[in-house]
Amino acid sequence: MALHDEDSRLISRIRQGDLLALGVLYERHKKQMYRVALAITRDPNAAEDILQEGFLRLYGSVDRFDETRPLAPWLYRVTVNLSYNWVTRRGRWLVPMEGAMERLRAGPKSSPETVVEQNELQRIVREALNALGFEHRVVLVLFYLGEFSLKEIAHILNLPEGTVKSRLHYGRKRLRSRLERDRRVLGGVAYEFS
Amino acid sequence: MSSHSQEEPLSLRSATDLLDQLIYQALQDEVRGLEPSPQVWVRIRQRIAATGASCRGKDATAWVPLLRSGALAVLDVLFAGSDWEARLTKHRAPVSWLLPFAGGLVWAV
Repeated sequence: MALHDEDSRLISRIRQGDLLALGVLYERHKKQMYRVALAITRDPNAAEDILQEGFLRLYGSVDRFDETRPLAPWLYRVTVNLSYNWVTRRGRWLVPMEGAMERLRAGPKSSPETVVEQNELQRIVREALNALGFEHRVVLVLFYLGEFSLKEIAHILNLPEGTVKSRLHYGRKRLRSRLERDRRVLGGVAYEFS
Repeated sequence: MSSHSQEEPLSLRSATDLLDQLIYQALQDEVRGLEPSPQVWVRIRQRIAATGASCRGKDATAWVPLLRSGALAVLDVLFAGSDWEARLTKHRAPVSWLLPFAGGLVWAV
């Protein structure tokens, strides 16, 4: 694959001590790595720190890379691991879902216009996503935001593909049940989620 | 209630997979328009220079990247607008780029 080949060439140059090659590699991956870290931690400063630390680790261990294998899974594994460390260290996880739902219900009953309903729905989805545990949110982030396949996610997380599939299924199931349970927040509009 | 909402009560039931769309949209919303600041790359270079981690390579010019990373910001300022970096290659002797650097320092003083 062309992307993989380009990464491999850059890795070879970095091994020679070429910092410009590291800069090129950084430019190629910074946006997506940052967004994945941001989607997991929900903290822009933490996401920047994770991006920085990820590339420092890359630079420090570049001699050990197998150039025949794609770099991206390694980068995202580091991103996920660093995100996990940050979340664990800060203890910032599991926003109480019930409280979020109460806030939604207590909020002003907006007009029944479609746009407002859609905004409400999006808010509920975001709250529901934030209520997921780390292991399920990570899989959803990599699948929907990173647009990785189940096989790629399994490689990134070093898990069996079946486990990734199970976590994705569980995460979607929890979201679906929460959305269906709280659909009255939207004025009783009937939603069906496949 | 408007006739529009009577006819299309936002059920989106015709969507292929509403839940997938909602999840995708919610995650996109969280990161939309956000990018890392340029300072991240500056900090990476500074950390590499500070730790000496750039002294890699096995030839006699292995120390070049360390000096280079440390001097890069200075060169950027001294030779702003010039293509000094484009003229360099990793195999060229260090003196070839240290000379303009030294000249720049003299000029600055």
